[in-house]
Amino acid sequence: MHWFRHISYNRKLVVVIMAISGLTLLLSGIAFVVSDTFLSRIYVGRDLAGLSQIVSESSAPALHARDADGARRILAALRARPYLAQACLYTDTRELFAEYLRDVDSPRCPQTVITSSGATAEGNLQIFRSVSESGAIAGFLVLNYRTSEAVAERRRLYVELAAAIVAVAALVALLLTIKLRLFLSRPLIELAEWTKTVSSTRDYGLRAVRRSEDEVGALVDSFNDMLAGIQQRDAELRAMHQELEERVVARTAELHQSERRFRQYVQEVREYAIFMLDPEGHVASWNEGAERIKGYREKEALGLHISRFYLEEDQKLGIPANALHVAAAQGRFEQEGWRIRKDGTRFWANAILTAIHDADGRLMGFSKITRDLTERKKAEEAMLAQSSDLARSNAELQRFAYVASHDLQEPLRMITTFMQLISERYKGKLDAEADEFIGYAVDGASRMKQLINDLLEYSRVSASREQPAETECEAVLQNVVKDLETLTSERGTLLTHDPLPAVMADRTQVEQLLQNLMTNAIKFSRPLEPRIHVSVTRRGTEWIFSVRDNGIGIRPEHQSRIFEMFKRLHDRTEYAGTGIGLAICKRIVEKHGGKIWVESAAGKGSTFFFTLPAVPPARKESHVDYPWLKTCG
Amino acid sequence: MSTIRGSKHVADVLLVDDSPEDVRLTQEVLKESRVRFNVMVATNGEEALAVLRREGRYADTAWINLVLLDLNMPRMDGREVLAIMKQDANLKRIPVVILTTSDSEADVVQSYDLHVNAYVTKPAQVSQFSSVMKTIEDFWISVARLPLRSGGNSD
Repeated sequence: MHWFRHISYNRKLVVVIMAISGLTLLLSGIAFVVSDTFLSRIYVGRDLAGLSQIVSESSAPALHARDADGARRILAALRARPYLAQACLYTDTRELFAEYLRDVDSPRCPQTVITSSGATAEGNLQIFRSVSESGAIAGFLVLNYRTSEAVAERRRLYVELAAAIVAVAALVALLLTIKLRLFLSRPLIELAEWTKTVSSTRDYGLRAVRRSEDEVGALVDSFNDMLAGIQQRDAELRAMHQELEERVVARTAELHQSERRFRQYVQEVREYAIFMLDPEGHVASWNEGAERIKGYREKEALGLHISRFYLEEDQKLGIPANALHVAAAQGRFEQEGWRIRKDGTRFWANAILTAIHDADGRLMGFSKITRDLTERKKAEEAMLAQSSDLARSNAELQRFAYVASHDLQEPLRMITTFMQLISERYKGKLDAEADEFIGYAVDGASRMKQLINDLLEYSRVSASREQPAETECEAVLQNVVKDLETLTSERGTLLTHDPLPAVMADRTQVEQLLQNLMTNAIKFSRPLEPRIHVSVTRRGTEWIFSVRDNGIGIRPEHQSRIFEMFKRLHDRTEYAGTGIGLAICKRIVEKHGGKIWVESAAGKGSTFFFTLPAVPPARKESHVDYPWLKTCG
Repeated sequence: MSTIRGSKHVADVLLVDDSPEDVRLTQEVLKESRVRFNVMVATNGEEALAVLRREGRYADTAWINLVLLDLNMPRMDGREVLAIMKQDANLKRIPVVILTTSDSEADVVQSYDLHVNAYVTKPAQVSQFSSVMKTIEDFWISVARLPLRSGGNSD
């Protein structure tokens, strides 16, 4: 049935009609033939029975009279029956009396008769009956009917009839089909063709004409509805498309304009060389800055490989290739170094190489922005040279200070010692004035010695290269107390302190720092008995120490000056000193990255604060890990 | 070169110092403390070595029992003299006391590294200097036992 699907609707219609009518004909033909065959046998039997009765009755007298000719005439009347091939009339003694043969080919009657009625082997029907005359058997009649011939004749007739019917039926079916097409297939075909038109022209404004109220009509309606929907959607789509296109056009124009503007900007930038490279590193665009910095005109530069801008030794080291490689891999690469201009001169460049990829991640090339930092480089180098000069002169100055102080001590020692000799040997031998003068000289010399010692100390603090180490302040303070024992006991000093932590510092300097502050505290507490308290608080990575005294205090306006070298607030007859002690303290604290300051009011005592770095946690932990170290120690 | 002879000298001492004031001061101090040293003075390293070795015009000088050596001198300084002495088979047995104004730890360490026998910082006070000199005499002459003839094996 596969083919059926692919034939046109018209043909389908024809095929269906023809098939139905053919089938009807075939079935009715079969029914007709079957019933006719069955009925004809009955009718032929009855007919022959009647005929044989007529013949036997009409031939009885002739038989009785033994009138053979008469009997033959009677029998001859059977000629009217075309399929009756033979009629035999027998006497009551069963001897042939008269016969009728339809034609010469017909078989002769047998001479005697013994048969009975029934079908013969040849397909003929044989009728046997007795002939009675006045109640007595006068003889016997046998009729031989050619059934096969009759059937053949009938069939021929039927076939012809059937052919005629089929022909007429086909004709009618054809006519019917043509007529049906008008009603059934045409609207469908029209609909099909119309949809084809719509889909090929995309004219959704077309509407199908409704010709009927049936399903096809409904189909047309829904097609039209659908078309209306599509038309509306199509219109919306077109409108949207139109709008989008307009927007794209506008945006593209904008983009073009901004790109043009950008190009213009880039082109006109003079401070930076801005240019593009293809993926292999050849110059693809060039701006004014590039021309100015590198010295190549745009025409000359286009197509050059960037390695041309590098020094020969850098090219040999593969630096330009590496720059491209790194930029391609990491997206960006920044480099500083010497580059070479067209005229062969060098300039110090800061260059940023950026890889440019398309939407699929393919490398399209690079942008390169180069700045000429030669001036900065020169300035940097000059500054470096200057700062190293400064460091050198600073170091020289420190060495000078140290050597000078040291060498100053020698002649001073001479003055001191010989003055001592003089005073020892000639005391009382000269007059009172001489003793007084000698006293001044000795005193001056010893002050100068103190000054030189302090200066020496100050320059030592500055020059020290000692690395800070973990320093236990508790132990340091004990040392200081021991060193100052004479002074403290002389003055009845009371010193209290918080538990002190360990700091990261130069131990000698911390000792000096504490010693100077304690000495000051004792010195400036006169005439009271000194009361000194050392406390400490933690702030972040440092410790804030404070040394509080009950001394004379410092007026706020003087507080900023006290850490300066040689700045003294008092007459040396009141409080002796060189004015270097606090300067040394400040130097020590600042060398450790800390700060020193004072809080005080006149007559209310002073508190000196200073900060020192705490021991980093990692170091402390290592102590916690090995507690046995303490118990063993 | 000058020589001071004490009332009853017990040892021949070589004072090596470039500064005449210091030499004079030391001499005064020695006099005050009545140290019985026979002091010879050399004002530089070369001269000191010549005296110790009894070379040239020092051929007739006495064998030196103790050297008082200053560190800082022009040309050959005390350290060099010390180094040479301690490497010289004939001179290394002579005790050397550094007598200097320097109290620098570096100088102390370096001197002992060069096998000095004692390091003394000169006190600033004359009286203290006196007592230090007396102590030196007491120790090296009375307490310590020295080789009979310290310098050399010739002669």
